[in-house]
Amino acid sequence: MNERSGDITLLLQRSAQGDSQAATQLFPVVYRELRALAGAMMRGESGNTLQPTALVHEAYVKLVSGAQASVHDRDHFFRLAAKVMRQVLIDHARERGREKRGGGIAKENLTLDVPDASRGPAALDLLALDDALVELAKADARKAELVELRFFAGLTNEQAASVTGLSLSTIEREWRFARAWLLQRLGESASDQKGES
Amino acid sequence: MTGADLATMQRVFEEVVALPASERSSRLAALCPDPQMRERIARMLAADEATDHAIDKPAIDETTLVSVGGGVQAISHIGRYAIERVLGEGGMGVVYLARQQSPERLVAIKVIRSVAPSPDLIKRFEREASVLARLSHPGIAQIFDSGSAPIYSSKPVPYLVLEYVDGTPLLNHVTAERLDESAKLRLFIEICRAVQYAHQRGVIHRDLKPANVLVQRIIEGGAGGTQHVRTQAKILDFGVARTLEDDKTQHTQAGSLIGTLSYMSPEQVGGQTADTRSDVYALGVILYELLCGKLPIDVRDESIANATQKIRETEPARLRSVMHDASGDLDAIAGKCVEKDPARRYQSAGELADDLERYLANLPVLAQPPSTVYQLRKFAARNRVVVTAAAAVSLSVLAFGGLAAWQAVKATRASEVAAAEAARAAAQAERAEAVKNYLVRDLVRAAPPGGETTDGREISITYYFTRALSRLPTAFADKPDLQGEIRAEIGYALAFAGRPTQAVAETGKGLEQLVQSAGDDDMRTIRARVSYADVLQLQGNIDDSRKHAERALAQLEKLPEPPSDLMMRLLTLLAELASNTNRFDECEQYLARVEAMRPGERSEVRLAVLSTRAGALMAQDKWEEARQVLSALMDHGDDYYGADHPQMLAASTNLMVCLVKLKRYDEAMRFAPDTLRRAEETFGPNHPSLAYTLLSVAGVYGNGGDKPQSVAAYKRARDIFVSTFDDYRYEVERSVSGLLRECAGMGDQDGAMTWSDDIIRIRFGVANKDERDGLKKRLELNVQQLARAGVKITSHDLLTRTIERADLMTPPQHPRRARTLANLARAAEDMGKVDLAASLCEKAREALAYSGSRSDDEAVLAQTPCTVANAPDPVP
Repeated sequence: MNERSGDITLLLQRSAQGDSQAATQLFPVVYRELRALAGAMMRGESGNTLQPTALVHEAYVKLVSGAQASVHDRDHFFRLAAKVMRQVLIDHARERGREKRGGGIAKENLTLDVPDASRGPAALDLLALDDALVELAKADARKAELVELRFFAGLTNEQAASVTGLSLSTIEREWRFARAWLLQRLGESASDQKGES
Repeated sequence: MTGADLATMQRVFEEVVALPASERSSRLAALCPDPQMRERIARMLAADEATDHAIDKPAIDETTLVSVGGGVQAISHIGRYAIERVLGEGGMGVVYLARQQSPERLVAIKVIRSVAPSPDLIKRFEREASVLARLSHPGIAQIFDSGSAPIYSSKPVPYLVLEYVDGTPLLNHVTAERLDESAKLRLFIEICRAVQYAHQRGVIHRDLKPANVLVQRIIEGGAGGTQHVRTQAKILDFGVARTLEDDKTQHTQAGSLIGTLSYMSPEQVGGQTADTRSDVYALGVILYELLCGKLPIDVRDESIANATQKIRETEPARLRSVMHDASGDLDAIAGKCVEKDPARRYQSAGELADDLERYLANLPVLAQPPSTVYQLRKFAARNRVVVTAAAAVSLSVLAFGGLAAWQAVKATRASEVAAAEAARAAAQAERAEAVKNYLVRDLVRAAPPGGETTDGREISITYYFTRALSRLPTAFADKPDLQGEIRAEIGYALAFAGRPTQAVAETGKGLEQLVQSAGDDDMRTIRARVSYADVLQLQGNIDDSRKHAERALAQLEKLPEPPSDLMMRLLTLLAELASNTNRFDECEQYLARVEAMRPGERSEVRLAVLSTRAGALMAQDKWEEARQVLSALMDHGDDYYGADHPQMLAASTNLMVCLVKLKRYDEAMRFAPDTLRRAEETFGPNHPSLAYTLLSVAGVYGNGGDKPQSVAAYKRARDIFVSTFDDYRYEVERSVSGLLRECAGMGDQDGAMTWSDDIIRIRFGVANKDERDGLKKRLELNVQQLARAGVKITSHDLLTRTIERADLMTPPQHPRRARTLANLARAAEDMGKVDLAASLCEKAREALAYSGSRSDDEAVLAQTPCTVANAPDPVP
């Protein structure tokens, strides 16, 4: 990592302006931060509660803390952090998958462990979700990003609207569609797998 | 799938989903002929019905993730500190107000927000915190303690225990108090001195901003019922940014972004390492804000990236462009702080403070590029306070030259003299023109070359005096009398600029030139001879001074009408010379002669007469008579000379001394606040000269039995000395000795112990290799004082205690560490503690690498045969 990558705010701004190289440089910085934070939390090493939004906030405070960030910079950070969170969680799932495969356990265990039973009927296969998001992004990047913000960064529709600058009604509409699309796509891939096995 | 496909899907989905469930199927069939897409949309509609799916909740939530960051928990204790309430919460963590049992005080505890700190991080944190804890300066919020404790969960979290500062943020304070420019600057200088203190100990703040400086009101009360309120600026979070860094994550890089952007230097926003000059930059921004509420580069409404770019690339606004009545000097000083290139800034906070003090004293500042007009203004403004003789030379000629700058000068005695001389000079217009040209070209324009010279006010004056002198022979090759006259005047001025030796040499040379060219009895020669006698007296050469003074007197007495100003000046000098040599009758005769010439009531001659008389009486132990003279002087002096006249301060100090000698302690103490006030007004709140006055005042209170007041004054003196000098100075030791004595007298065991440690630290840090006995005596002296306080300790035990605290007294890379440890080793050896001595020697040798004066320290170390412990014991 060269010295310039330390200039997080500048990179943030550049990547907000569409400089993909800046985003490439920035990504690992945010990744490490979030990963370190999330890793510690997943191991239950501290004693208070935190939402993913708070996690992203925490990363933001750590990385851009105190600097007089504009609202625009903060929004961009959140959008970037959502992508990073996605990567952190996907990587985490892959690692666990590898560990468990090594122990001879089947692929369906790649879903993120969710100890809380009230979480809902359907557990999510993160890797399948990731694949589906890649496909969705090819057709409509905005929808894919919205999923990242909602699901990986834990933003509400209102927060997502504020971060993206879109109207709340647009966000609600887009989310409803993207969500339905993803679930049908995931159901499709689940049945594909069943069909194969 | 293409974007168009998806868009079609969305259009169909949205239209269908808006319908009641019963109508959906037919509508979908109508809109979507493609069976595959139709099936997909049907499944999407089903998915849309299914609520509470995993995707509706964040990928991770409170059931899987926990952290200290989510909120502040109610806790009752951290370590041995009882929590009172939460003071604040920020990016770095939570700050609690807590109560400490012993000593009983309020403290602030900063719990570092860090998720699962690694053992390495904690270790590092503790190391940094222990360095910070050694910063002890009145202008820095003290770090008392640090540690880690399982506060929120079973995992320990690091925390810092800090001095609780109940103060007002800097900018609020200056607004609320409506401080004027010079009060703001004095406050700011105090802050710079504190920053300098930390810098000298290798600690960089990195996050200086007005919010990090609180101004505290400190009330110092005395038994006499007098109360003294003063303010003290305290810098918070010194070096704390660094303790939060962790090499393993990106925190190091993020750390460079911790500061608030407006106060961050270009190198910091560029991700480079911050050094002392980065703090100087931040101080510069604070200075702007303090003076006019504006920022040199306003980035508050910018995005971070634009802001960083601006900080790195745009030129800061000149102070004058945002504060129209700012003087050119202040503009230059502020500008020099916020230079983009650290090498072009002040290289230390101390340099910045020095330059501001020069500015307040109307001396040329380093920041200002030299120019004729500038130097002239400085001369003009200064003439009131400094160097009458310099004014006499320059004013006589320049006033004639009609330079506007000079006309602005208030009518002071110097300019009255100058006006008289100017009138004479009018008769010799050609000559004056030549002198003016010379002065402008060689005296005034010869400013110190930018940046590289001088840090003392005298030096910058003497620099161009010296240069002017070197040009004198070529400037007036054919006028040796003029050369002599100017040389003698400049020489005289040098004495007041703190260069007595050079003054004597030049004045003498000028006199010689005049004797040769104008003759012995020429008035100019006599005037130069009086000046020569004056500077000889200032230098302490009483015999030669007297010889020349008496000769000048003989010459003046031959004249029918000797100029009375010169005569009175000479007679006062003779009186002082007589007093210096204990010929008090003669002294009084001279003084009576001056009085017979009826010096104006308000004249400085009158002031000098009374001061000289009082001095003579004091030298004869005639304290009561001296007191009367001084009282008379004090009664009217302020009206005549102004309360800030240095002579009035001297008078008031002397009066205090007389009263102490007369054992009229209560009266002496009544004068103490007044003397102190004069000193504060004359020198400002943080000037070493004030500290000397504080020492006298502390002595008065000590004698008068007001020990708390005495302690307060000693403490202030110590603080000023510490912030001005290396804290291993004699002056610091003297103040601390006073503190030990007074604390002992009050039975304050803790205080006595503290100051005893401090003296030993200082004494052992400065003693050279010949002061072996001095060190032993110091320990014994401290033991006696401690006994008065009720602490029973032998010098042996005191030394052991000191040795145990050796590491604490001098941080690992402290330049005095080697010397302190070597001296401790020698003392240990003297007391028969051979093993201890050897281990101290070992440590001292390691510390040599950081020694400030290595060869000296090696010499001290060489005196201690540290190998003794390792050598086999000699067979008895």
